[in-house]
Amino acid sequence: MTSGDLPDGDNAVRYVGPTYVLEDGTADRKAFQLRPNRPDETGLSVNWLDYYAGIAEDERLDEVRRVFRLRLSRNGRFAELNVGAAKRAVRGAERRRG
Amino acid sequence: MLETVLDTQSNKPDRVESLVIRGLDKAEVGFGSYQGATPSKWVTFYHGNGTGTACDFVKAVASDTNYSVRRLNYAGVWPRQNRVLPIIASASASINIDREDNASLPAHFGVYGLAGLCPQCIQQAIEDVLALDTPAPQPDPIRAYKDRIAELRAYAAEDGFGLNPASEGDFRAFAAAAPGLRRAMLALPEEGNLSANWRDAEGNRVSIEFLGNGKGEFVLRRSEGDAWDYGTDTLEGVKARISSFGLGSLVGV
Repeated sequence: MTSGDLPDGDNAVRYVGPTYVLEDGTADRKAFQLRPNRPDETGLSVNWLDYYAGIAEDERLDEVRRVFRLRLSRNGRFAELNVGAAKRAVRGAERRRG
Repeated sequence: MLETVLDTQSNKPDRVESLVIRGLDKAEVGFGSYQGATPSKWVTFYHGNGTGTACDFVKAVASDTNYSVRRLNYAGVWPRQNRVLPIIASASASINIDREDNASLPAHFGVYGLAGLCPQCIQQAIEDVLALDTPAPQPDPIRAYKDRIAELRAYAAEDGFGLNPASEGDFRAFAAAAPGLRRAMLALPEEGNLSANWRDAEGNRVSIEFLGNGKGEFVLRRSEGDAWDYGTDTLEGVKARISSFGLGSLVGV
């Protein structure tokens, strides 16, 4: 599955390159923004973690890694997002922006 | 007595317009117009009668709290041939002063061997003055981030981009203007600009991307009332926004 609304209760992961990973292991906000130098970019890619609902939780990320199409850096991270919380955060930001 | 000296840089005469005795022991301060190519005022300090050492004179001027321009610590020193006209000067320290009365670099600073100072005394004076006036290396305000920035550079190189030096310069300027700056967590987004983050356990957050043009893109989040502020402003403006938003203590500005 590559598009469509994911259930709010599910979780997704976004790969965060090593230059976006802060010293405490969290991600810089810019990891979740469209990149100005990529005008063709219209959205942020995530992987639907709960797509692999049939397997153990701690193995789901391995599956994501296995199918991931980009080169993964040893120092990169996957940031896990709850779908519903992410949607609320985006809507909130849109409201503030007017 | 102080009429004309020959500026040993330009070989053009400086005309002393007025003389102010500042009460320094055996020291005189002259204000003159620089007659060379630079249309700036010129300040020269003279030590009068050949007693003491040049360094005594410099120290006396430097410690004169009545004198508004005491920038000797910015002046470079080099020994140069004594080409001062036969006046009584045994030492001279000069600083270019602009129209707003700001001292400017490069200053020049001379120690002259006249009036009975032996060569050893002159050499000692030069060394003393060098020790007194060579600017101490200023600590790099982002020295603490040296390793982190190197790490980010290495990661960025692997991904095919680099750190924008102008952005690093802006971060340095921001840090230099905020001596109490708290440790930020740095990231290096693909645009090549440093992004600095401050966070606390309460959920307060400050994020600044240093754009490299003297401006920063900022996002502020105050946990109380879930308040947000964001935008782009000059670095001074960003600082003011952080403070007015009540997050000054988080960042240390």
